[in-house]
Amino acid sequence: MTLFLIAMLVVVVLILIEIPVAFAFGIGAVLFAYTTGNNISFLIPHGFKTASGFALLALPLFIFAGLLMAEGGISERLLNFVNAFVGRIKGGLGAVTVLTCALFGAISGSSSAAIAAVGQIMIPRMVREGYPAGHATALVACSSVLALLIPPSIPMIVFSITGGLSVGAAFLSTIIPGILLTLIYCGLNIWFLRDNPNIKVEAPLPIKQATINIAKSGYHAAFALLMPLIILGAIYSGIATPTEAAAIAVIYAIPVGLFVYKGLSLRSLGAVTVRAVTMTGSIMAVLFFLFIMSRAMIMEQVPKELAEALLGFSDNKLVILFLINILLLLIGMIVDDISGSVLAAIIFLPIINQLGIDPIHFAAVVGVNLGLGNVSPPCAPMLYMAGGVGKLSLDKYITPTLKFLCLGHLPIVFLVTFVPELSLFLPRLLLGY
Amino acid sequence: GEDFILAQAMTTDHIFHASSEQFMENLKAQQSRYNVEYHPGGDLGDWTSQFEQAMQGVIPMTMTYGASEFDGRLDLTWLGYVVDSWDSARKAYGPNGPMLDVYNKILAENDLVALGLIPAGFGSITIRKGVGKVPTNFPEDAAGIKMRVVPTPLAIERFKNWGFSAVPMPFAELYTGLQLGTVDGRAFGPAVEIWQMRDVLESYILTRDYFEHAFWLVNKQWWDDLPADERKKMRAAADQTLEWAWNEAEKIDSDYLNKVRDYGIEIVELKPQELEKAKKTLYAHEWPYMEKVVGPEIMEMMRKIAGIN
Amino acid sequence: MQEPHVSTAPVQPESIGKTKIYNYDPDLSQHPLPPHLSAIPDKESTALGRFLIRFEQVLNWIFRSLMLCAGLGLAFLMFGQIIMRYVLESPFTGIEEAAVLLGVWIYFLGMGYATREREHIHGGVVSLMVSDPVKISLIRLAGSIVSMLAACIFGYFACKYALFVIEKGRMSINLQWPRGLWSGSMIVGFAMMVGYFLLESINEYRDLLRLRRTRQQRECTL
Ligand code: NA
Ligand code: NA
Repeated sequence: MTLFLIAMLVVVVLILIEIPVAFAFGIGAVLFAYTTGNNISFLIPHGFKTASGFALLALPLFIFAGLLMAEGGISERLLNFVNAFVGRIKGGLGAVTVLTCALFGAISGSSSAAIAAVGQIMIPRMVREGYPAGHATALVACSSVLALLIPPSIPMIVFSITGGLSVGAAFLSTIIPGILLTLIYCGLNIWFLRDNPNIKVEAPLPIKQATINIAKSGYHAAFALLMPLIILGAIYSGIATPTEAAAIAVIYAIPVGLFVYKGLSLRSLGAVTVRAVTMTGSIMAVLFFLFIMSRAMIMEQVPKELAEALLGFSDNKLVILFLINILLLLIGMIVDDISGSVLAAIIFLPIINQLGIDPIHFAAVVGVNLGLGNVSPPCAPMLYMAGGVGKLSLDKYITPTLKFLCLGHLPIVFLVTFVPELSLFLPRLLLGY
Repeated sequence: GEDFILAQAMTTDHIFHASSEQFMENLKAQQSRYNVEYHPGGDLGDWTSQFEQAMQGVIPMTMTYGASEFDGRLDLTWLGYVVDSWDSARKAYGPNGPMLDVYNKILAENDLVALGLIPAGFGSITIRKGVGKVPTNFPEDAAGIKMRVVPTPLAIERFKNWGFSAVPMPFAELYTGLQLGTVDGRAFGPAVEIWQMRDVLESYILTRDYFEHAFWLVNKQWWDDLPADERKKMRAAADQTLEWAWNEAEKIDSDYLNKVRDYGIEIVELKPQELEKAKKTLYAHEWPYMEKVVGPEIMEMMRKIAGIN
Repeated sequence: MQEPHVSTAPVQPESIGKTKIYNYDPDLSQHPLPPHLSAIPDKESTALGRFLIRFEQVLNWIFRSLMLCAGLGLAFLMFGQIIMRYVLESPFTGIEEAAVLLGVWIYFLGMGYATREREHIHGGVVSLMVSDPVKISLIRLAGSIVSMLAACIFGYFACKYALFVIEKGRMSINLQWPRGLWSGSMIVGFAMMVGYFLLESINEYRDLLRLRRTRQQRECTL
């Protein structure tokens, strides 16, 4: 156990000096396996075998579909559609951002496509209408997490595959928390801006004109709004596995982007494909080395020992859940969401099963915790990406980000932890779970 | 003492687990200075992976099935309609039966030694909830049914010959596959595995097309490098365990079948003429196929065991 | 029907094909990173350098083509499987194996390419602890070298395993294709990672020298 803690310390130090997370874990794994006298020659084959699972193919396909839709021009249609509802109230543009991120989440498996698609348009627009730039950037970064909570979701795929759970059920578990968070962020956005005199708002339209606008923009967004229905419909009607549903999403997005929304050309289709493969590579590198790390840990029975230590602390379900939450928050800060999902599955899932807590409920707990991981420094890829899109340095947007996270995301984390019905209601309703 | 890993890929209600626990006790009773580091539930990889890791010596001891990916001849373990009762199964596969030697000749070429064969029971097909079909007459009933088989060529061969569309699928993806309807049913299921997946299943059709038995494997080099007295202790502990397993397995198997029945899954027997027809198809296609892989000498012996000429 | 537009003037967003996602540098607040810090510099002064750049362009073209084929191939293959199952009612059992084959090539080509684009997921708080740009550059250089060494070690084991699979002549179960086609992706991926980390280290080293030089010049003039 001491050796394990030393190895983890090395990993943390390596991550802090900005060595790619993947390699930090790789180095940690070799160090740990070597010092505990385990056979390190099987680490790579194990990583390769685990990565070669059929179900994991959902990952590149959902990334691809999200990027295709973002490129195809879906984001503007979604923005216009949401804007027709809430665009003309004070702070409405912020609400448009949040709601569009959530809608985009129903198409994309990861946050980055949402930031690229929504952030690029909305940050400049919000700034132009008088929003503080830090506020706008933070809002995009925080709302991008909604793309993980609303299925499809890459971290949920990774968590369920690593933990041997149903991907379909895990997808459903984070929907209600996702919707709640959407509402909270909309509210917080308006509240933060309530006394800001710089915000410009357009005069509200008469009801009739507003209804016409909604109908028009809804018509134009129809192909985009249909996509989540197709994806989720295919999965929950049993027509397709999540992996196949992801392929359907890609094959649907290509002609929609090329011929309907026309944002995609044959040329940019190539560039987007390469981008999707590269992004998959960034994520798979982390996964591959984490599979290796987890193997080294399991060889030494580390999860079992950690479970014993944690259960020795208390045998009260709620106390343990609270402790696990704190640990997940810490893990989420240090690493990104993908790493967090793997670590949660191998370290905490056995404890959860032992305590008799529903693993799908725990999937939602992990989902909301690690959504936070993506935007909590030091390793906060989505936060930095939003900063890049908003062309701001970290110190300009870190304060509003922390305000959104502490008042919005954190309460949801504890709500999901202690109210299992939030996550189990939909799986029970739709899968008879 | 020294630690060594014993791994197996099944859950704790499987006979692998009970056998492992027996073995650990027996080894302690032998006062071995070796200590078992036990990894159940497949945390070190699925059964094909554990087979490979035993080959490479990463896991010195495992209970697992024959992964024909590494040696096509190992498909012999899945061969259909070799034995038809627990008695004949014990004679062929049990302690002092002829099959262990046959297997050990093949395994030696893969750097492995089988300490014995662990019985799991007769395997049959099952259909998931919501399909509403009960195929008993092959190939007529089988058309259009997607049947999961273990990922080996022989398994695909059998279910194609019976008229199913055979879908090879790793064990880890099976439950989700049944739940989401990727497959309509699964083959190669002994009662314990039906019990594990009971909540997604509708009927269990007792084709009893093969007798499921697994290898208790050790890495050959690791085994040969053990001090002679320790090897003897381990052998003794293993023999005791195998004796126990073969005495208990039939009861465990029928207990699970009863539990499956009581849970409400429909249990269906084949009619005698349906069984005859099913056997005939296998003997006509699958057996010659196997003969091409393992040669006539072994198949002659299999025919003798099965009582066919 | 006229599309209703949000009142303010539209912003022309950058193509997703060009947006770098994990390539960020919160310290410099630049996104994407300036090319002198990634594996491939934007210009070269020496003849050898120009030749190497041209050589890399050829490699790059090959990698991008492979990535394109694998990415689109996977989507169409999986879609084909669904069609086969429901329209023709005959699932072809080899498709899953072929899909995983494309998948592992996507993963490892992607990992290699992410190295080229400096797009591996990483943290970003060094500048909160250190402010001297020379020191930051030094930490970066050390990081790249450590990553390269790690890639070498893992690449060694990956090649060992891939070659073991190829030598044993193992065949896939359904398609009966050599397993080496699958494990070969690791050899290519790790070769790319090692190579691009090496180039990145060289670039960062040159950047470090430049920084030092300008500092010395500034100190001299003062
Ligand atoms: Na999503
Ligand atoms: Na983080």
